[in-house]
Amino acid sequence: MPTLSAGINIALQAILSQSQSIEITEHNVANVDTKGYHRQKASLVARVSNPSASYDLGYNAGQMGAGVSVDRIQRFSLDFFDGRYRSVSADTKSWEYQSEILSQIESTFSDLTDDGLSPKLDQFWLSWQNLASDPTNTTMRTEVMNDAGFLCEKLNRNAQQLIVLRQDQNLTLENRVDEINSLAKSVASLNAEISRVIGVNQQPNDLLDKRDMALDRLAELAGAVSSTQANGEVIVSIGGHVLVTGHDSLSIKTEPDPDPANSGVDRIVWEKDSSEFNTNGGELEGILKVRDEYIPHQLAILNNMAKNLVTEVNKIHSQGYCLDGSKGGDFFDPDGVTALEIRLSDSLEPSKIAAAGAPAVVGEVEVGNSENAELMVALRHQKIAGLKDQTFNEYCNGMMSELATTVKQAKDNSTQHTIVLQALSEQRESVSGVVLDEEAANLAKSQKAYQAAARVMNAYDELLDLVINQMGLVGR
Amino acid sequence: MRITNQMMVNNVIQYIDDIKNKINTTQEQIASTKKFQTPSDDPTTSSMCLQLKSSLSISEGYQNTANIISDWMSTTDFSLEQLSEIATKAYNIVLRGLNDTVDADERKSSLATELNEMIKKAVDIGNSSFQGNYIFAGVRVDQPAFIMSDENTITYNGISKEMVRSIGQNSKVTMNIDGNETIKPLIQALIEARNYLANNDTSNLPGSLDNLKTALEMLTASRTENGTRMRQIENSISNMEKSDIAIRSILSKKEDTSIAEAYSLLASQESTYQAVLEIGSRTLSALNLFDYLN
Repeated sequence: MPTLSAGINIALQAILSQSQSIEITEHNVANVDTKGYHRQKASLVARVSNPSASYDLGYNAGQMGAGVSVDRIQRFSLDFFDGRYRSVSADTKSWEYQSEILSQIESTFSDLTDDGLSPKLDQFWLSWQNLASDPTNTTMRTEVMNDAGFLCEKLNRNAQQLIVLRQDQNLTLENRVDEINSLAKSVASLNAEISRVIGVNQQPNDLLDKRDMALDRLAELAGAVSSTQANGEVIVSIGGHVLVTGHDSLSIKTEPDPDPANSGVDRIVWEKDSSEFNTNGGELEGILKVRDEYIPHQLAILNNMAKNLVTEVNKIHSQGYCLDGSKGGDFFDPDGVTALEIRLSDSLEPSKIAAAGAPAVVGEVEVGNSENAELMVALRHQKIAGLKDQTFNEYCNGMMSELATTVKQAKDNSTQHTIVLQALSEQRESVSGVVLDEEAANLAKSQKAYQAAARVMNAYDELLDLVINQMGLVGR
Repeated sequence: MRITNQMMVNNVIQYIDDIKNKINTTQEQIASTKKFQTPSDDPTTSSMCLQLKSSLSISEGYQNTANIISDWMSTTDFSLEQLSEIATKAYNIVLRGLNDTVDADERKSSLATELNEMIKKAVDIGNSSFQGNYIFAGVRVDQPAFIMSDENTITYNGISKEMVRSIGQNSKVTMNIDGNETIKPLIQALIEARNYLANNDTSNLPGSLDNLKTALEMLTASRTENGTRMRQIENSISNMEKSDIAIRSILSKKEDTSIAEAYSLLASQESTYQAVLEIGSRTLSALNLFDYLN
């Protein structure tokens, strides 16, 4: 049996539900620019009357509906999409960082300017060629020494820059490690809160937003992957090692690398058992790849070049004769056989440059003889076994080409991954982002429904007024 | 697809970013006059450019050498020419000395004295130097080629050895003329002739005449040889210059910005930028439904 009080209740429920809808719309509008926000919507359902408790049982047609209520607050997200998005974003960040650090190497090497290694090498040969044409000329001799010095300096500088660049990454690593640790902690505590809210059958929508953002960032940093459990908690792992499980998180730290080849360079380990921290993409992977694979490789190439330069040039130089007729000594210091340490021999001075070949009569001084300088010039065109049967210039050119190709590859990969990531990001945004027009329409809709419910309540008020104040006036 | 407000804003920013990057690249190309700024912009061409620059540097070295040698040889040629003149003059003097109308006194005071001066001159020329290097001293370029210890003794002080220089990867040239072989016979013949004239020894004079003739032939031969080498050098310099021009033009094609092309590209990019800004401002300031509901 319909009752007036039940009718008022229906109107009241309608008013309450619509005003909650309006509030949620407000929340959406307020967060139109909030990063990581997923739009929400009040999910309205028709209330079903409780037949056993109602009076209408058996009297009239039934069942009559009992109005509206907000069933749950829906959060628009593409959960299944997040894994893919995060794996692409991890790769993107990895390439981005690789291309960034590699570009730094490229710009410090400045191979295309006159300050490049190849022009310095050219200049070195050129000064020998000039000396060969005029072996008694002191200016030419001084120039050979100067240009050889510049070549050494350039090799020193390149090696130094690579070493410094490796060490420079320590600070970045430390920052990223701190960030991962604090994100892991916050994911663990969000896990706790989310499972509690879900436990009382509510929707922790804004907490989920926060946690998703943390997970996004963890994927960007180190390629962290997560899986959601029935109670709403996530398990996060990086490179096969658990980072967060339930309400607990593990932490990582940086420490000086014990390997003597990596002195001055930090490595990342798990704090608990000091086992190695492996990344699976992300900024850290990019940094570590360049730092621990590419830079040592480049350094080895430079060192090989320096070593062969010292050996080959010294070999020829020691066969020659100086301006005073004495036998040629070392040109480069034989102890400096790395790119970092290559330097001219201390005993070298302009008159001690062995430009002359062996004299026809032993003991005679042939100052106009430049046979040895010619041999040195010929070294330029010689294929060196230690340089993979390439000439010095070819080896140097190959080194530059390899670096350039690596940088280009990293840049291209970074760009391509960014495009894919943008597309994925747009799809995500398309589902979860706020459209103001839509909110305006929803607002108008809820507002009208609210007004209508209020009118209904008004009608009941009038009915009650009729019943209470107007009825039963007979005999008064 | 739902187009959200954030997507619209992000896209506008993205478009502006893209076109600005393009404009920046074009501006860099114009300002630096180079098509690419780092090797990674174009690894293949960069590597090729380095090779071309190396070739230019090699060629520069050979040209420096060739120019130095060329000057050295001109000096040699001039010296040999003067020596030939001396030899010819001396030949004529000795001829006059053979003439019966000339008496002993004239032979001694006039002709022998004249020859004596010529000897001094010939030794001076034999000791001529180019940029501090004695050109006829073989590889002992730091010391005079000839020493006259007394008026009858001429000693060659140099070390006879060819000074071979590279003027190309596989092209070598000998730059010096051996003073011992070329000039010493002349001086010796001059000394001999002077002594015969001074002593009025006409019977031996014809032998001197022959010696002078041989010396002159020697000088001429050396001069011819030197001339041949000079031509070789000149050819080689002109070839190198030609190939340098070719290399430079390839290099320029590879790495230099075509200014006209770059400017027209820039102009079109700028108008795209204008359009992007225009559309962006419309997108961002577009009204939404809230503006119409009351």
